Amino acid sequence: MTERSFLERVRTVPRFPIRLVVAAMLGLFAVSVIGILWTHRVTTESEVIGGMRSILANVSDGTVARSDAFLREIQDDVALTSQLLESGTLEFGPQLEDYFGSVLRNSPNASGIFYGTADGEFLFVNRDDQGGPAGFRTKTISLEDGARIVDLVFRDADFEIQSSAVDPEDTYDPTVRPWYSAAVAAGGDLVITDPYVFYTSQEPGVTTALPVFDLEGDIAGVVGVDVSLSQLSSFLRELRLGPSGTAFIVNRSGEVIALEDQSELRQPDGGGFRLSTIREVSDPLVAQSFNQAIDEALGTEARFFSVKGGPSTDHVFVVPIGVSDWVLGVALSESDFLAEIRQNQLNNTLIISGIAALSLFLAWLLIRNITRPLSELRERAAQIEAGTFERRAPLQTRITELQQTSDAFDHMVIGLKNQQEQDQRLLAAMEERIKERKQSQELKRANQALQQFAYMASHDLRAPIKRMVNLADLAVMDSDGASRELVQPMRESAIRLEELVLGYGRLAGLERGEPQDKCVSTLVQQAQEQSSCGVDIDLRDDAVVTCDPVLITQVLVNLLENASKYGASDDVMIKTADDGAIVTISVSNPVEKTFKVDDSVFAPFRRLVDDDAGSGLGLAIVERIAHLHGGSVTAQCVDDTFTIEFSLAKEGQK
Amino acid sequence: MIFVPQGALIALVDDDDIDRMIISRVIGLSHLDNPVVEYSSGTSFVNQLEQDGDDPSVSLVLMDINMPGMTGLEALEHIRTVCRLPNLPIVVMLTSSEAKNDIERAEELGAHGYLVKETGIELFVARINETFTNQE
Repeated sequence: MTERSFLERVRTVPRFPIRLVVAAMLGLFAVSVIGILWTHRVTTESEVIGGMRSILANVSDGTVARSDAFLREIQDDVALTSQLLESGTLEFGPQLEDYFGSVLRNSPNASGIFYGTADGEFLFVNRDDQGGPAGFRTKTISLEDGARIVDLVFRDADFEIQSSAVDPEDTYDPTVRPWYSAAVAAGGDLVITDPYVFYTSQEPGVTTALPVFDLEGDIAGVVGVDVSLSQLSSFLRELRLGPSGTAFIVNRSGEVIALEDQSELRQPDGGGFRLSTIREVSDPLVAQSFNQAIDEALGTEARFFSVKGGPSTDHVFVVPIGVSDWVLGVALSESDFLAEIRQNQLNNTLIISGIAALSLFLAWLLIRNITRPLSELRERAAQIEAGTFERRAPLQTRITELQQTSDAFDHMVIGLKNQQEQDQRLLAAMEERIKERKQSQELKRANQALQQFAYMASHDLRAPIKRMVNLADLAVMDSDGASRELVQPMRESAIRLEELVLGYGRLAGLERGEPQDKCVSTLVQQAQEQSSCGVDIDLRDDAVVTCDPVLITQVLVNLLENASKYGASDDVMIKTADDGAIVTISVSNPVEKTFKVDDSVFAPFRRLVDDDAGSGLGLAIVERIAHLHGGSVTAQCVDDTFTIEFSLAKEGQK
Repeated sequence: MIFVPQGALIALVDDDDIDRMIISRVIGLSHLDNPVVEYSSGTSFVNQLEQDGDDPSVSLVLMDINMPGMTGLEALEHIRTVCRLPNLPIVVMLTSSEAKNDIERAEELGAHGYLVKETGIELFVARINETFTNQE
């Protein structure tokens, strides 16, 4: 118990079941993996989005630069033409028409170039395919003596005249056109008109216009170049923005200047067309993303937007195009860039989930394989603690360390069992030794008692011898020496006898002979033959005793003679009992009257009745011999029956 | 030497008839001039002494130690304690041997001495003469 309480006292460290530990490890593992996946996803997506924005910015820069260059080229044409007219190098007429033709052939972005005077004259050359596959058309409104003449000339790609016509129905007045008034209002600065659908080509475009001043500084006319917006849309188409990405140019009125899909640039309007507004574009990225951002995007610095629309987030970059009030928008869909990454992440998640499930299963197996043998070992240990060494089949486990532990435990159990058996053998040997020592002490006591007995017996035997000697002396005195010759030898014999008795008395007690196996019945028979008394013996049961048969027979002789001498009848009953270790022999005989008996009856020379003619040694001898055989003797008198019971150890008597 | 007044009664207590006869004869053969009264058991002598009361009729008691029934030592103890006679009569224990335990016990109980029953009358008489005297 002390050991146990010590063990309980040292159990102060918190302990956890292995299930909990493994569950905690798995939980930590799961949290780590989820964290890593999440961090990876966030990092990757932010990098991708950063990359997307970088692409957007680069694309925008390039596009803006091209758009600027596109417009600047036109502006240069307009400015050069204006200067040539102001300097008089060019004049209204065929010379100007030729010049316009060369400008168009050298400036592919210009779809038409014209000059309208304050007087209402007008010269316009534009690209036209009626004079051949890629020809030109010239419209001239001239005033001759107040008369207004409108000529139409169609030319081929080499500017050779193919056909001509006069259009007397034409009422075109350049001074009322929007570009004219806008250029006049700008007071010398270059004007770019809002986009509109060209009258002649029905294509959307813008007009770049610049006034031409005369020598007095008055406005002589306005020169302009029509720019077809289809060229800008071609630029945007060349941008590679992925499957969903798109780009567009709008002006601040929300009218679409350029779009990847050029067919959406215009909308039917009456019999002709008008420009599409941004809200009318079918591209979902443009329609949804930009619709939400357009109002605040227009007129600001370049900026990014993230527009959540539908399943994906769109990233939009809007930037003003410097030479105009146009705005370039470039949009990319996250899903174009992230779809594969997300699919990859989904795959990773599925794989990790599978691994986690497998880990759980393996952990369950591990726990099961650990806890079962451990609880089995604990149970066995508890049994051993309770003192049970039950033989059990060795544990079988797949865990090497557990198997080693179990084997070590089994070896320990075998060792304990051997130790226990050895302890038992030692205990038995010790008990045997104690018993031997006890018997040795008993033997010593018995020897002392025997020596005392022998000493006293020798002295009492001397009393009658003394009497014989003294009587012999008196006999000689009384007979005046007449009988001296007869009496003197008798006297000498008596003295010799006394010497003998003294000598025997000095011998220390009785000696036991070699033990023999004898039946009690045999011993009783021998005793009956040796004793002179004629008792009737009733022998109940029989047993084999290992003894000195001479001494035990002497015991029986003494007891039979006592029974004969003091008994109320000659009936004697002898009973034997054998309990395996001790054989008990009891001798009973009836007496006249029940009397009190104690162990003093076994004292030497103790006689029970006054006129006892006995020696007083019979029962003392019985006790002495019983002790010599490792036994004891008791006397009792119950119901008019006197019983002496003596026991003999079956083995180990000394 | 133990003084025994001349003519005073000597009690001889012994269960053995032969021993009583021998000792009476030895006393007769010795210097002592005293009558001897014999008792065959301690019980009978103690009974007589109790009848005598404070004035015991005997001056010297020769008492055998080993007797059946009341032993000599028991009788001595009875005389000294029950009869309250601490000094008189003089009690000398008779013994066949010089058993040390008996002699020491007798002295404790108030015996004046002990007398070994000698082997041989001549030796026995000499022993009596050495032990007792009528002369003051």
